[in-house]
Amino acid sequence: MVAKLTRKIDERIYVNRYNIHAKNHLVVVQDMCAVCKDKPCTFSCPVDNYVWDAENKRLTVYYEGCVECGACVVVCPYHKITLTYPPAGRGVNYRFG
Amino acid sequence: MGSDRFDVVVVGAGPAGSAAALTMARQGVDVCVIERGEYPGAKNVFGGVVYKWPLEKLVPKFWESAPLERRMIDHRLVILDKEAGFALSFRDDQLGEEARGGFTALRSKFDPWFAQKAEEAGAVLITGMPVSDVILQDGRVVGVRTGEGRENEVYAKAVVAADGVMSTVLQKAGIRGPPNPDEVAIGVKEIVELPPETIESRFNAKAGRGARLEFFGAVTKGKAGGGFVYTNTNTLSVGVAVLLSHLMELKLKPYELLDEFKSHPYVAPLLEGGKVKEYQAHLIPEGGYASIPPLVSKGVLAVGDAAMLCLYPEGTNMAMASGMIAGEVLARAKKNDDFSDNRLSEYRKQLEESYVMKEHKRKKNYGAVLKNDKRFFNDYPSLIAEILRELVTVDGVDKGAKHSEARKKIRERVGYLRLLRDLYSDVWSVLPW
Amino acid sequence: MGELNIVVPIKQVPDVSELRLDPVTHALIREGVPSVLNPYDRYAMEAAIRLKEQFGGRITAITMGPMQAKKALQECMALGADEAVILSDRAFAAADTWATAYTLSVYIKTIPYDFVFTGLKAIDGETGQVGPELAEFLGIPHITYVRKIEVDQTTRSVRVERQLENGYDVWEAPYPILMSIAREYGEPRLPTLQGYIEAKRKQVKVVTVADLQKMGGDPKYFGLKGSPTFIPKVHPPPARPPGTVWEGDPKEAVRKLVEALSEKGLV
Repeated sequence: MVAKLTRKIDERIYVNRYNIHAKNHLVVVQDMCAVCKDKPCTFSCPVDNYVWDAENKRLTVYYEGCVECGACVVVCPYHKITLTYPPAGRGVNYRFG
Repeated sequence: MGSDRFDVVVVGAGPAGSAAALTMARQGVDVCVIERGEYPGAKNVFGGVVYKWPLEKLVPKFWESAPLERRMIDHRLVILDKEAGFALSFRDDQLGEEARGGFTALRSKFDPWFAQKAEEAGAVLITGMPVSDVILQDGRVVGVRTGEGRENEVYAKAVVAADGVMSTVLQKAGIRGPPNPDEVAIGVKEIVELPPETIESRFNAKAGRGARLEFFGAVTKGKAGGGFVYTNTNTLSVGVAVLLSHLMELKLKPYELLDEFKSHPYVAPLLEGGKVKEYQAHLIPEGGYASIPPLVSKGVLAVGDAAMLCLYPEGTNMAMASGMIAGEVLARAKKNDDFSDNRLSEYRKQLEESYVMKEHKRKKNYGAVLKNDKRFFNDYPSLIAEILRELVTVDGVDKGAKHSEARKKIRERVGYLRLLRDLYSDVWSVLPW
Repeated sequence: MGELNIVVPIKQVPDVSELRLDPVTHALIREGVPSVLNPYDRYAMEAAIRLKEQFGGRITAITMGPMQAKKALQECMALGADEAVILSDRAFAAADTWATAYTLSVYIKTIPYDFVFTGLKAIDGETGQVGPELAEFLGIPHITYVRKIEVDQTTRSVRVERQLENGYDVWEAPYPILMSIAREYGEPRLPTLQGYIEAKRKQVKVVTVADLQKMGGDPKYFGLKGSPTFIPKVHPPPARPPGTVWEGDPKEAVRKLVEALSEKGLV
């Protein structure tokens, strides 16, 4: 039962209603990412939008599952993340909220 | 008035924005509400409870028409350690009869209803339009824009920032920056579907009645935050909130905390067989009194989450009350044809005298307690569980010996003086009641 | 050289990304599903706006449906429709494409028009029939899948490109004419803030069965009883068999994949 209720992020996002915007609304200036010690964006994001690619030393930024909470903006120690709300009601649209 | 000019523009159609717009529209203020969601509530998340006050002042007997879920008749506070839970429960059917215990609600239903009230009173409601910037003239905000070009601008004599904890209006106007990690909690929540009869039997409630459970302790691994389970009509709202700065220390993903909470032996049986219908996340202002930005500045009035007015678990009432007061002040400003900051600062004064600021002042320790105190979220919960586990076990050891063992533990682990002090002062800041 | 009158019939549809079939009855679950302006109709609106920008004129957005569909019309007005009309009456309910086209035609016949622009189809029914049927009722020609329009006002004719699978046709036709607009016409614009505010201050004209009868509509062709087709049952598509995943060493996995494909005679 526990296993059934415990789900990975993809399964979580799957139940939500999105009207995905064609353009990524999350912009990261990556000049400090390599030296950023904890990379808090990679674990604070509730939908795993930020994944550190250690091999290429760059941050992979997903946005399709973004719930527009702003946690990434708040935790980035170098203030390098900008979240511009998607236009025309795009993005997440909660059916319950 | 032309389509590009209003008395007041309200940014955001949540509880704060709609309360402000409704108050103003009823007094003949020409007001435009701009909401970024496809419909009001589309982008909004809350734990789950709408209170009788102050909504009743705006919409008398709102419970007869508003889309609400259940009336709360059981208020439970549960202190968790890893396996155990110690609960304080207050149950009273009268709370339901008199609609005193609050109501669970879902934002995607409640917010459109509330915004429609403002619309019916004459406010112009625009949805699906994120405000991207403010229009500044001589250091004063004279309007907002939703994109490029003149056709995406709107002008007003004053602007109400009701656009939430990350307020674009306040940030673009230079009134405040984004919150600090120790001023906001990240809340993650799931909507878990269960048949109404199952909810009623698990939470021991009649149809239309229900329980709200607030959890502290092991939920957030000794860090500031907590969990909750609220009963809706045919769903449960199940969530965890943790101070963002503490999450950064834990280096855990918010949904990992939620998964652990959901599998806690106290919680799991409540959710058994439920189907997850939605996964949500939102930032919650937790900075308390100290984090409140200038409430009136450059022609902008900050209300609700934008003004960081929220004391767990009361956010919607703070939002509506602040919106209502801002609306009253702006309606008077229109009558006197004076929208100067000096005149509008009446908002701050009236808010100070209201429940909203009295509560924030009373709990002014709140932010500091959350930031620093692991006693409330770690030491006490595990101590309580340890002591009670011993006391309820009948094993031939006499209760006298067990009591003195318990007293010893308290003395060594916390100290009586500190316990008394915590009981006397800080605990009242942390308690939701 | 005059201004052009353009009619855009639109539909409010349930957001299909939200649609689920009831596992027992296989009926569409529409409850709680948000309604949106049919995405294909945005292209029709875009074509209307561009023509209006070029020649001046008047755009009338029209729909048949319950009163909630006013919201979709409001969006059309926000985009630039000058007038919005909703044909709303219980008598129109449960109409098939034929009855819908007939009902729309009764009203459209009473107003001046040079062009009728429609979307290719609606995302809920996916028939693409209402446009051509409407042209027949109006007694005008129609061209589907239009991706480019050139108007010659001296001869009152158009030269259009019609999108095909591997290219396009060029057609010439006189107007008034009905055209369904393809995606290739161009990305439809979003409403502006001013557009929304102005739309909120305009009224949607409501037309009932009584009004349409005065306009010469025959009530026996409205709604369910005017519908020659009906849907006896909706079937969910058969479940797709699960895919195969070859894991491990990429070279080995590819070898197995090629093997499996050649077994089926696909490579």
